[in-house]
Amino acid sequence: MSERCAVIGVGQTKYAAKRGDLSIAGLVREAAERALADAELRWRDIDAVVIGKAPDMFEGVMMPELYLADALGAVGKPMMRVHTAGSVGGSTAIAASHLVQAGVHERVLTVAFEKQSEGDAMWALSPKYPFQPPLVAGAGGFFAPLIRAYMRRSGAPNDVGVRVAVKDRLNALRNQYAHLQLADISPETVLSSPMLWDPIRYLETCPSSDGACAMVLSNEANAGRTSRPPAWVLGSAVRSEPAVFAGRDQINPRAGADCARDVYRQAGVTDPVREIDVAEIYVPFSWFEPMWLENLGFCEPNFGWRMTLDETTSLSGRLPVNPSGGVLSSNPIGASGMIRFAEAALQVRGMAGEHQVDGARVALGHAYGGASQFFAMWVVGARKP
Amino acid sequence: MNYAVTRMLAPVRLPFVVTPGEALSRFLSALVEGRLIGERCSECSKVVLPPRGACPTCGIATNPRDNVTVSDGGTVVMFCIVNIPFEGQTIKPPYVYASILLDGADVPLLHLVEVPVDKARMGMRVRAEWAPPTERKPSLEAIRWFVPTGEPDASYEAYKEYA
Amino acid sequence: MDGSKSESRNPGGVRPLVADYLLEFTYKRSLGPVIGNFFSGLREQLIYGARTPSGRVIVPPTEYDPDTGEAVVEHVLVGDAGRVETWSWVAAPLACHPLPHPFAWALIRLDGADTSLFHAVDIGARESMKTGMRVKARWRAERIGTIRDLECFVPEWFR
Repeated sequence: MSERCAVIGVGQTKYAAKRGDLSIAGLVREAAERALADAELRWRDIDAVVIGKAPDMFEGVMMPELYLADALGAVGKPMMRVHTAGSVGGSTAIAASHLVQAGVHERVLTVAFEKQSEGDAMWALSPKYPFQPPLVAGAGGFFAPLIRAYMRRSGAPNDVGVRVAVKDRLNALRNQYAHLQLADISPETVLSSPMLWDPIRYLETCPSSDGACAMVLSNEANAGRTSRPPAWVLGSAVRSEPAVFAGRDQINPRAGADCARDVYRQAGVTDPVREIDVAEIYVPFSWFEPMWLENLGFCEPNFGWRMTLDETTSLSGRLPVNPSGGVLSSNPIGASGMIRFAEAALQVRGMAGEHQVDGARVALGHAYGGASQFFAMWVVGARKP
Repeated sequence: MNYAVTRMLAPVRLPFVVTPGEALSRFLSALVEGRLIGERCSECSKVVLPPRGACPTCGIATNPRDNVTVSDGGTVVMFCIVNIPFEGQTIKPPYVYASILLDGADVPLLHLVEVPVDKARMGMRVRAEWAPPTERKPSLEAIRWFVPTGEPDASYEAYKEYA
Repeated sequence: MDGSKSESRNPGGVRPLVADYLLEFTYKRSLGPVIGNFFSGLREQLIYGARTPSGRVIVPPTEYDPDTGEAVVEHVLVGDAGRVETWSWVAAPLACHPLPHPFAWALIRLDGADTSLFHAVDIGARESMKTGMRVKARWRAERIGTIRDLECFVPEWFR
């Protein structure tokens, strides 16, 4: 890649169970206009638009690139859609960054959204399809057995998931955009919430949200022109693997580990836990924090839960994870990956407000999707590479 | 105007004719006969089921000669207890949903285990309980659920790479 | 699918299974202020377009100017009659079509609008359909605030 790429604008909607005041067009517009304002640009300054969203049945829009072209000021400009299940927000941002790095465009708007209130994700994930195994477990039923197996494999105590569920909701209280604002969250409220898919409790799962996230990505020549600092893309990578193959480690998937190694190599990170100041990791069920810490190489396998318990991942810890409140606090599925990437950028720009990690210079954004099959990651930094 | 219109209903109705393809059709037809078949890759020798017509690891195409019969008994390698009701659910919670490594297979199969939820455990040995032959359709519902065999549990070492 | 052809490629296998599958779901759309106003108007037998910053009147309205991406600036009432710009005859309507007998799909430029509305024209015979002809809305008696409140268009000379 010949050109450097920077995030110069970030925009998010308020995340909520239902944004009944807005159409989908209005929703993406709200995020995009905020990103443009942050970048101090107007619609005409954008060269191309890259959009991502969750699988089509989630909110029933099959061609967002067609429907949303006018809402995103894309008339007469290149516009394309990216599609990688739950990781889509991350891979969409990466596809947009490639357009800048390749020197094809100077300023690219990238947007991801979800309007869960207009559809039914639980249905969309597993409609009764001929010849396929019957639907018997629902959305969490795929991931709950992995969590039990992780607990057995790692010897983690039972309350690790509860700790994550409380930490991320407390962080969300510092984020004006977060959907869940649970002021009374505590280990007791999590423990007393219904056990949906044993071992996953209700308050250990993500909410169902409406929302959109947008970023303006720029080449180096245009990155220094705004009053707010840019976040430089130091490395980015995507990986995928089949849902089923012999010897697959679903708890510590090879695609995720390979993706992390690649993104660290590009960013020159050799000791992630020391060199990365803050991480926004896609954690839809609380136990995925320790699982992904291991997959991402922040510790040895089976040691991730210790980082949660010793508060390494708390807002004041050595490696704060999900200071925004994470997916556990806001989950517009198609946008959730991009929110992780955008929050990483806000941290190194020093613009994360009340959930800012002091002195954050290098941050990781992470997204995953499917049956832990698709991974997208980027490392962003305050210093130009 | 008496009140503003703020929403609309958008019904989607898409009729499809679907085929599972040859490899999965062989698997489903065998289920009606009360047999489970997998595909053994000619390259890596791993047995995968349900079959997909190609080895997911090597990408080598498989053919009917690669079909092998897999035991209908196996080991619970992972499970959860489903307590939540949801759209499309066919049985009443709570119940056990498990990842079962069948003897002779190299990937686990997801299915129900008929056992009191507080008795479910990793390593438990189970066997398929088939629907009566006349009620079997070409679907994994030809197996009602798996039931404990009463054999001693498998050691964790024996199945940990699948969990 | 042609099962016999598959079998010849696959002598040791079984005939591939086939099944009908209906994917069906009703999404609940939030309309937002512009489309919400358009639907609210239809219930009152009124057709609202949207004026763009450059002064064009878009009907049916979009929330953003298709030319520039700028937000539209105001709701504009247009006529419920207009001129056929182009059309296509439907000799054998499908179950999902708005009329059970042959009709025309047409692009209709309503009076006061700068863009055209795609809708059905109920006119009886193909020979009667002409580019440039004047048509007028036929409204449903029971209107609830959907595009179907506008049942179809008919030639103005029907009245």
